[in-house]
Amino acid sequence: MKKEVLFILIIVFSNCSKLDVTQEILPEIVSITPLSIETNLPVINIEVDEQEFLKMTANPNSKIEIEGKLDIYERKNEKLTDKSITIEIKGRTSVGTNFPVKSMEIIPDEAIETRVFTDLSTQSLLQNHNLDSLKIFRLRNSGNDFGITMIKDLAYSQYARDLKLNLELMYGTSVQVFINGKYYGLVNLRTENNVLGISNLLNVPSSDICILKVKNLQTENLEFHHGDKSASIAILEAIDIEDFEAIRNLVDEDNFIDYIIYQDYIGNSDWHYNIALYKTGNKKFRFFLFDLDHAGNVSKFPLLPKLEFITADIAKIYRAFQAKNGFIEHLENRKEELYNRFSVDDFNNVVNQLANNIENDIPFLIAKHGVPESIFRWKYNIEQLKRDFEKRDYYLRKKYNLD
Amino acid sequence: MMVSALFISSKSQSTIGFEGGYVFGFQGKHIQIMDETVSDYKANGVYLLANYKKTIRNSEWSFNSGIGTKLFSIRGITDSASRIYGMTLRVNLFIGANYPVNEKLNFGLNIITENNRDFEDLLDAKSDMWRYSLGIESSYIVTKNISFIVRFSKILYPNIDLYLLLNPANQFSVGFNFKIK
Repeated sequence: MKKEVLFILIIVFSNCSKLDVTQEILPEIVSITPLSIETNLPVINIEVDEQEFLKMTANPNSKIEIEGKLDIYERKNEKLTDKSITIEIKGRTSVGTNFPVKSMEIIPDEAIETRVFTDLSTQSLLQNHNLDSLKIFRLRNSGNDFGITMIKDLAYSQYARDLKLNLELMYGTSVQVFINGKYYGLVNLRTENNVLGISNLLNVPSSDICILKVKNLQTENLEFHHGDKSASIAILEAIDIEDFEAIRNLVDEDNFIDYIIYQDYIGNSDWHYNIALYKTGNKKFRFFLFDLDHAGNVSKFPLLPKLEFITADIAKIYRAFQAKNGFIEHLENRKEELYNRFSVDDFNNVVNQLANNIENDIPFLIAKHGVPESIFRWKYNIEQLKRDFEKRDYYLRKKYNLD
Repeated sequence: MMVSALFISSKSQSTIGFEGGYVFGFQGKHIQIMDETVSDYKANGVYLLANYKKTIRNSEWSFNSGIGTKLFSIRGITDSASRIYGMTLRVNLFIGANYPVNEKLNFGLNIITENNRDFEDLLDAKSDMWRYSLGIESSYIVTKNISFIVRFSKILYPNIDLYLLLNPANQFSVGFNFKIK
């Protein structure tokens, strides 16, 4: 009965609030060009065959690759570089008709020097990371955050970097994109976590890399994804037969601990499904933090304890470590250490900085695609992003007695 | 215990009523959303509710509870001279106690809870789903079955600008209650 009442309430009153704004002055976007747009962000213009591009974007899951040319303009409209590129639409849930801006993976024929993107090149790097040049990158529509804050993934990634977690993760910055000189949208230029992206980030040969990923969202099983397949056999077999000792020998414990603590802390509801880990050469497998646009969605429920009983492969890895003497103490100590460093104010500073960076560019997105509904609504969404983080922080500290 | 005492009492009287009226809200401060301050804020709406009232055994106090809904329309002007318009529909539950000052006049105190965010967010287990307010009310018996009601409520939690924009901190309502039983 309780469920029926709840269901009826949800049907009747779902989406029961509206917020409209008038008299906002939006820029004229029909005639703007990469040279005339008033922005402080880098500007990218992609020259492609119009029909090929339309076909690719209309069939986002068809893995269609097209060739093109890419020009980059930095502030003051100075053209900095132009490259031949290969483009492919990427994304799993954020490519449908609700997403007029598609996420595109870009592979230039020659690496692009990162210094052309000032914000990206000045970001502090985690240990062993290299961002001198980009052999591959994604122009990401902010995923499921498209038209909401446009910075959610960037903010949660940057905060993880600021905490200097023992992780591999994405670097990114906001850019304005044009297709054949016509305004396309505001997107996040972001590094990748495929073989070329990891090779780029860690400065290792592509042939040394093996990547595992959860591809089937139903089973939540890890599968070989890219790179050296032979390197995946041992770990997949160990997970399959639950050989805990073998799993522990193949997975980096310190990285695993930071990864699960952070995913749990930020309440990434996409987690357990969207998982990637990689190894290079003879080193252990490490987890890669990416796609954080579902973070903060689950405010109240801790995700970490679920690893003790769910059937997903990541839970088997957790239970393999759990069976080791000293692991729980190691985990709890690190959790306490990180919770002493986690800070709502620090996260808000990251969000404010990223939001200020694109505040003058949001009107272009609204003018072109009608989302967010207004500049004011976008500011409202930014405040909601901060509030969701604050509440998650509050609940988890209470849950773990780490006030 | 108070509630169980109510229901085991055979001598206590109970009534069911329906009520409707006008509600307006005010903030008592300027709402701030990022760098935008909302001024010239106005919030008006209508409400409907059903209530159940039962006198407490051997007492002049009565227990009052109910469920209602409220439709609010808000408007304001931001620093950047944009006009904002909002509309929100809330479902609320309340529980409280009433005391008769004399034959015609009643005074009451309520705790009110209502959805603070849209119900679709409930499925995602989002935070701040519920809002809690403290309400005071006074009713004047006009006829045997009709009372004139005046209410004032003030938010207790979550008292942050983000949520106050569509559902103001202070709400004042006037309406009529029709006793049907």
